[in-house]
Amino acid sequence: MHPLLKIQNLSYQYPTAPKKALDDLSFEIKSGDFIGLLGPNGAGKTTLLSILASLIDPLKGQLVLSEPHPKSWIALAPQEIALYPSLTAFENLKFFAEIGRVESRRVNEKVKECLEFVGLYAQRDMKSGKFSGGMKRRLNIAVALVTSPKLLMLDEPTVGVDPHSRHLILQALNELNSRGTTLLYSSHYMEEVEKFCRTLLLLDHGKILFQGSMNEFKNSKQKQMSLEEHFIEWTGKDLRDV
Amino acid sequence: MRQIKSLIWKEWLLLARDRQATAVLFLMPMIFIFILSIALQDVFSDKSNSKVTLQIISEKESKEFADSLKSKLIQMPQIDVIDENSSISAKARLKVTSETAKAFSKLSRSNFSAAQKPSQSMEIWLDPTLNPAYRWFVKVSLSNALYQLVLEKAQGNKDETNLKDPLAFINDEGIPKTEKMNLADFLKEEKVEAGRIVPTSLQQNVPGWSLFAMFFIAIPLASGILKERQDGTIKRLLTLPVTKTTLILGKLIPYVTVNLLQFVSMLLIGLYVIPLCTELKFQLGNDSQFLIPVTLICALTATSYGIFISSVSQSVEQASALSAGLVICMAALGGIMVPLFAMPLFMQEIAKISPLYWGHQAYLDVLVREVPFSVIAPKLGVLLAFALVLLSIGKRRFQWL
Repeated sequence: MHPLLKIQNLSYQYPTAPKKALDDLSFEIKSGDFIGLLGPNGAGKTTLLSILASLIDPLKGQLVLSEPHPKSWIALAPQEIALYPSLTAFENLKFFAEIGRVESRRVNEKVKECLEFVGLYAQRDMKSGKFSGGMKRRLNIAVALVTSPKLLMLDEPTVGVDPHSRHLILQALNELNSRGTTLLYSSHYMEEVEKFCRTLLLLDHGKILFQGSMNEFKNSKQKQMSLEEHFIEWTGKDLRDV
Repeated sequence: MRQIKSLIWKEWLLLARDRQATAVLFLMPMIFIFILSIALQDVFSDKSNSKVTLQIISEKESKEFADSLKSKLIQMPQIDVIDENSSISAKARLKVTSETAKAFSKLSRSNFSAAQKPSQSMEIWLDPTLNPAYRWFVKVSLSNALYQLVLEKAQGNKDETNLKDPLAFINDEGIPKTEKMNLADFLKEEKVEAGRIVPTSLQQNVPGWSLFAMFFIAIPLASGILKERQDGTIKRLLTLPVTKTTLILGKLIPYVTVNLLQFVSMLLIGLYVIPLCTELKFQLGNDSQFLIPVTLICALTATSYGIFISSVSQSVEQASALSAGLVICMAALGGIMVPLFAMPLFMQEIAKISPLYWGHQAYLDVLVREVPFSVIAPKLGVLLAFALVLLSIGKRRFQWL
């Protein structure tokens, strides 16, 4: 797997925050990988995703990209349901496809493909505001897919989702990864990360605590411990009320 | 271009599906125009107690006559004679030429014994937005002043043959006259065309409430931006290959278009619907093409106001309350809710801090006063300055994420 992007000595501090949100981070994302991004609340996960999605500029450090114009090949499915509730599923996808510069003649085809991929094609003419939580989450992911990104970043995509939708989302992401899309998956659900991710990046207080394969992580403390117990061991037992 | 088209289409869909916003933007001004035009009919035909500013413009040869006329007019309680060079914009202007002065002098020498018409008339210009009662009052006051001058001359000539019965000197309109001569003939109102409609409450309310509704665009505009920020759609858009300028244009263009639509629909209602139900008439003025730049600049100012509100509000609720509250205050101050002429002079000066005042005055210039574009342009300049200030504050304070 060749590196899709390299992060070198990345730091970021919010203007009013007393501490750095990211502190001298360095790692690389390999093409085709399925990376689990773990960390307690306030660890810096969303800040990292925001920098990679070109939403904010790092204070220090740099991103070495395998291709120019990152906005055309890196997509983010944000934690929020970032959709227009009074537009239908089809209209939402079409709009973001056009803004994402999907070729005019391919827009409808691409929208259809994405809706089918998340199991919402039958509901394409329904306003997204009328969708259930799980359907909204699926559409939220479909919007991120409509530009055919090489790197898809997902910020807690299964929060508040019913088991059926969660299953569908995870299966769809797995399939996407098997087709070659690189995934950076931020979640608090350890079992999801354990089941699907091959590589793990553990952040806390803006620093990398661990980076390596899932197996390496599981062997990093005591072998018989669950992933969640490993996580607690690495990050400590203090509550993180951010 | 394709991105801007998509952004505009998206805004249109969102607005069209927001029934409350559509009602606020289109239904509310229609109702206001309808109700208030009928309700304010009497205000426009009734008199109030404030003064009418009158300016006398004379020539070197007519100065003596103008001064004697002025000395009489100063005594009239509701006429405020202002200096010839005053910067205050007069509601009435009287032009006294040397020919008029000579004609008057000739008339008084004739001892009023023969039926005659003056060879020259004095031109009065009356602001078309002036209350009809005031228009009448100005004419009566001028005739009275002339009558007093005539009387003085007659007494000086010991000729009172035509001045016996005071009641005989008042015509049906209440304008003094001598037995054979109507002094009203001596006054000629400028720019009064046959069939021209004297400004009605509809002339005030159509542009007034259209402007009010146009500024109400700030509610859906600012709320929409804040909703997009809250639900993360702006964030999502910023991860895509689109510039911030395109995103701003994609917001401004559809709302400016909605503003234009609002004005056109209110205009059509004023022209065709309200006259069907009432006796009120609405007219476009001679230079209705000036409505295009006026409406465009008003729309730009209104949308800039929406961007400004979105930049100073923290939530949708705050944006809605703030934008509506401020528009109501600006409308009350700017002569939309209460006609400017019904306000005391100091309030008429304070009105100038409201952008709605400048927009409304620019509309009245086109629809009622029928002035050349050079007179309207400075008002549009002030409106543009408002738009630029609001936009630059909005740009500086706007938080994308």
